[in-house]
Amino acid sequence: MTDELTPRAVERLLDAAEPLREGPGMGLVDEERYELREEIGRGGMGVVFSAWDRELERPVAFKFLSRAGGFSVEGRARFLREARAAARLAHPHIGSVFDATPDVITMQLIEGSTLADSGIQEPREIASLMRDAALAIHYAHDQGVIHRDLKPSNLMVTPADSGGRGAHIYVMDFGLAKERTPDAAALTTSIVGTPGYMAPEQAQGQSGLIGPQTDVYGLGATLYWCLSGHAPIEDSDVYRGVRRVIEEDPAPLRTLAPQLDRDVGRIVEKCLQKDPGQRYASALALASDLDRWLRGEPIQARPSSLVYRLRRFVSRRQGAIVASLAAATLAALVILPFVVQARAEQRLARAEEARLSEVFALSLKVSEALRNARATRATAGGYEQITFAILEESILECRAFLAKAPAGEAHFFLGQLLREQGRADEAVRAFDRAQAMQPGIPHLHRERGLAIATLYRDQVPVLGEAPPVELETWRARGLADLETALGGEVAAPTLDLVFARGHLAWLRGDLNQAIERLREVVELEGTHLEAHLSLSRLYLLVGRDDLAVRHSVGATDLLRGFRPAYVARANLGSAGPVSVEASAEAGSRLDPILVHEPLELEGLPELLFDFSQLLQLEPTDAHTFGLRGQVQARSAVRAHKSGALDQCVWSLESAIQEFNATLELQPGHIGAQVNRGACRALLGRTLAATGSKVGIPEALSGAFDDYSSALRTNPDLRIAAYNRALLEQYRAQLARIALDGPRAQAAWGRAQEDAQRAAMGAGDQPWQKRYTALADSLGISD
Amino acid sequence: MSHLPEIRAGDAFPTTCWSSLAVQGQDTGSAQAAFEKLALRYWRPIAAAIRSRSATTDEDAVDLTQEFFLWMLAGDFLARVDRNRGSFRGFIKRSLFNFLHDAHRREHAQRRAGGHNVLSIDADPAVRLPQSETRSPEELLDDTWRREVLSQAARNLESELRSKGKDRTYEIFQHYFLDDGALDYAGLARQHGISTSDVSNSLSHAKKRYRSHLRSVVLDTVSSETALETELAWLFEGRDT
Repeated sequence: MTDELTPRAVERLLDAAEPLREGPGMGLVDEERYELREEIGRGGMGVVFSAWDRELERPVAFKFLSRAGGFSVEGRARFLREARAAARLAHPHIGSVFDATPDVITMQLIEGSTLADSGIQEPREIASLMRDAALAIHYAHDQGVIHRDLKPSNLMVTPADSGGRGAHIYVMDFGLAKERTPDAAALTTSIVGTPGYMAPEQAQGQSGLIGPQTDVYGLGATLYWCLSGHAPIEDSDVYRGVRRVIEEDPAPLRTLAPQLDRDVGRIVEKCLQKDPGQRYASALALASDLDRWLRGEPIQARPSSLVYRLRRFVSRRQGAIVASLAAATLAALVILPFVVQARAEQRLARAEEARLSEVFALSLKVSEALRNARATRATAGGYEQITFAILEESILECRAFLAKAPAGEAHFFLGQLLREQGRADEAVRAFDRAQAMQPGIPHLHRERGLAIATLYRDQVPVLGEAPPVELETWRARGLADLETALGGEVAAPTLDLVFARGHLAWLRGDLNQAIERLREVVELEGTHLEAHLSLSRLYLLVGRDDLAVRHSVGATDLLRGFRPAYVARANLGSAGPVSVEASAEAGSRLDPILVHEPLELEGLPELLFDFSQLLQLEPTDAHTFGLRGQVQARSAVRAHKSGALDQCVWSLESAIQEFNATLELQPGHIGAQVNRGACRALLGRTLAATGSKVGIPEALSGAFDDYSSALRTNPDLRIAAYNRALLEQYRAQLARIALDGPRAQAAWGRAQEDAQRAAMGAGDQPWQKRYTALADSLGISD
Repeated sequence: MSHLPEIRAGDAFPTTCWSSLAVQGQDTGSAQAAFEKLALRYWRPIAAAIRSRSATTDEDAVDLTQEFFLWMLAGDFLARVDRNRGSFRGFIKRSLFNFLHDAHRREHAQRRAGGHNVLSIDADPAVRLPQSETRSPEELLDDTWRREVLSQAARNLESELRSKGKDRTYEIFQHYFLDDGALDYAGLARQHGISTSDVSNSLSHAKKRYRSHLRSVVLDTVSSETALETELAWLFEGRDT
């Protein structure tokens, strides 16, 4: 190309560049898809705009990067590698990255303020938020991503809401904030950012030393700012600031905030050590110490001997046994009485003594893991991957222990961890081994009984399927365990005890009593996933599907990336048709099965992503396919309601594929059968509405076959009869339009018959009215 | 609500060529490197302004431009750049008119620069600088500068697309935006043996990438977000809204 542009070329190029005129970000995003709204911030990295994603119907934020200039080819490649790593992070305390180019990052819109602007000053609140942030950072480290630029302006906080949910923290700019090297200015990159929060190894440019502890420093520096109002090192001159980061210790926190608790000061100090090796070993260790401080327990940053710590642990546990038991620590308590009791028996052989002390050390670790797992669950308001990770680490430790020294106790600990992780079947096997090797382990019956009760719960048929053969065995075994465990129990009714009694009542067949107990549990601890799952199933069994839906939504809210819990949700998903039907009151001309949306659709893409992940792990999990089908189906209904018929057809076809997969893996899966029927029926109607000439009769007769085979499996499945009635009513209308009198007559007759079948039978369920109404409208009188 | 705090003292604007020059106030070596890179990219607008004001031939103007660069490098200008303000273009303008007013310092600089030949404009001996009877040197500088920015972005687009093997996309862009022939979509489709919708897709992709490159080129010459906005708006100055 020539160096000289003609005047015409200048004009044309300016035409092409025109969108940039509106602002530096314009013209860089797909304007058909995104509606840019307002500027919500600007700073070192660039300008941030809020926007609306018309395609996925969700708010997003765009960060238009100012540092794209001078990107070399390698710089660009590295940027994209980092962006990919950041986009893979899925954690409730990490602002999600949806997309990234060197010009613009598309990310989750957080409706809050930066920690720097949040005005939060109360040390406990700060510690609690920063503990969550540290857990998020630990998760990222596990994924191989280091943040490198943690500071108050890179953390966002959404305020507490009126529903009792506390402030929520998000770590932003993950993996994207770290320095990159534009080709022309390599030397300047080390001072991008604010030296006040930079770790010494960064200030020295020792990139080989940058690792998880670099982020521990950043977290400590942020804590320092939150608690004192100052960065650890403040200097108006960038160069001097960088030098001081390397050479000077920050002023002791308590000189700036004299009333601050000494232990918090210690935690921060440990984070801000110049030598990375002297800081906390991981962000998780920092999170744990903050958590200990929040609970008023001795922190690890405090120098103390092992003896001191063991004594603390034992005395605290014994004190707790005497006092009323705190719900969240019960799992840990289950372990200790065993040790104490065993010790009390005295006259132990020396070898046994040594073995016991090893078991005791393991029990400390396991109880710590259980406690941490429950703490993260309780404070974050749900299960998180970190909960899973904490437990997994401990499980591996138990397995390693068992590989060296088989011990009944270790099997027992393993069982507890597995149960907490939601892997009840494996837990039962571990408990069985524990009992075989070492009879008389305290609380084994209760723990195993609860694990068995979970297995029983998840297999109780709710749609009239034939119960699995082992169901009765589970019931009998669980009953025996729980009766043994609870028979002589006179202790104060702790949460776990109430939970166990609820399941005992269930296994005894007293469903109402079981519901009452489990409701107590949920009232005491709203984040008790297992209780929500059990209640959901119990309400289905007693015909209160509306309440079942409520608890299944409650459980869904708690799941959030907890893998085994997704499996549990998939189990719930198989109860879909009935739950969905429960809310069909809303009224619509669509088949009722598809009307309600119990799952939050805002998170639809993430949900689908999670399911794909799950399927990669368990490629033959019929439930996951079924659940994914339901999500697609609900997405289709949504598209249908908004008039996006093409999209609706596309979603329905995807949903049908999913149900096909479910049925291939598990023939006769009644939920998938009914759901696929409903999708096919809606597909037929939608195709007709788009004026399509093909596919309509096939879709409608496919739906008919699906409903019919569901009804063959379970003739009392009224939802299937109801759906088939609606379908036949529609087919009668089509036949009438086609002037095919006999065919219309026949379809109408079948519709009447099915409507009657659906309306039959007593029941005060909310949807009964709909059945009756349909029967009435088809001219059937009782 | 805001995602990011206001720019505070101590927050460096992300590294761009210009801001790296500015930030490196104490490090003459890399400041010089950054200056050289930008100066060589924008020598033509500078020469055009010099030609219109002080030179009688294109050749003289190129020589004077070279002298100007040496004068800049020899003086302590680079050490005193205010990194929080403005653009490289503004900085050059202020310096250039100082330079042209200051014959004494020019000579002084030449002595001090001595054998300095780091910065050498590689101008075609037959270079033709734009001239105008009606426009001021400043207007000439701005106008030529704008063309330089636009064509630099087009060159970057070319190397990106060619390195990705998208030669045809670039050629379509070139025919449509840079060549003087009046080809329409249908003409381009015939010429390349593809459909008009392929032409439209190629142009749409190339335009988007062009905007990104244009933004990057401008970004190289500014040191703050506000300056970026101002400089982008300047590109369009004098056009109808």
